[in-house]
Amino acid sequence: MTMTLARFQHLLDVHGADLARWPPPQRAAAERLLAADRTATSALAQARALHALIARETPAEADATGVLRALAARPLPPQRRRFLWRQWPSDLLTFDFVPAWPRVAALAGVAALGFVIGLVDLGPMTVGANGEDTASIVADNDIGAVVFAPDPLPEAHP
Amino acid sequence: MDGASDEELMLRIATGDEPAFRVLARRYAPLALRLARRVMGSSADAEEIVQEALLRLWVNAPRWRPVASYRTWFYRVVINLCLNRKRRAPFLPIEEASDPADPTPDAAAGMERREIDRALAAAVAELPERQRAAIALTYHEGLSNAETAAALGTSVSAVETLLVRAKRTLRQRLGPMLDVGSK
Repeated sequence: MTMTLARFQHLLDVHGADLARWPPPQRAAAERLLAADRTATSALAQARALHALIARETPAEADATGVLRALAARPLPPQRRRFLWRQWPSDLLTFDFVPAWPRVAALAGVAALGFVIGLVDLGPMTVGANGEDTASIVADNDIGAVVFAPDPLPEAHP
Repeated sequence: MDGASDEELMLRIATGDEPAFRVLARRYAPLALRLARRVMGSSADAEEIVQEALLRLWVNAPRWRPVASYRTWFYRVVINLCLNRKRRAPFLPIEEASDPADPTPDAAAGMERREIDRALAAAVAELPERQRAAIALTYHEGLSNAETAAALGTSVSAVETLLVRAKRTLRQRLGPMLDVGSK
């Protein structure tokens, strides 16, 4: 991958003049450009000079004594407490859904349990006391009668 | 308690632990003051902002959630307060800014250094606030571009744009000094 001088200058501004802090692929391309192009070397020198200039811009050492004294001189205001009934939307939004596998496993387990219970209970219900198939009895009945009749499946009883 | 992490202290502060608040305030007040001074260009404004930021920290601690680095979160509070104040008040003219202390014994060298510092301070002061904040966070506070983006409440690509524009402006204004510095 070749790098243009304009791209090199842009990356100098983005990542700084210390090439060691650049992403490796871009650093390798930049080093090839530096070996071949003196203008790139000059741009790097200028970026280093700018870095040194900015870094040395040190205002008088920050003395926070005054701030801390002012804070200590007066009582602290009351804190804003969280109300449980107000925080549920944010709790829901920030809920950590990862890892999801225990919940997925629990859901699958419940589904499997329901399936097994269904299989166990379905046997006696699908065959009437006289051996007739209750499923076909249901199928033969008018669906309105099944839903609304007080006793929609009299044939299914023993 | 002095050895406790920022996050541990915040959890204590959330329960109303005042000594924990004092420890965290002592730890972060100088950093916040330095950052606010760079963004505001005025020591008096910076001190008020840091006081306000620390009081907000105390008041809102019960609502703080450890989803992000405390340092980045607190820098964001400071930066937001700086930018809010900047919108309300004009920037202090550079002539009113005090000269930094000069330990150089040689008067000529000291004068030259002060001249460079003054030019640099003027060039930085003329940058838009967000560009100045991006420079302060990456150069002076040592934050990565991603951390700076979190502190400014923006994307990494937006921070990169801020840095590119800021450095382009600084290069234009400080051109001759950069030639001297690169020799």
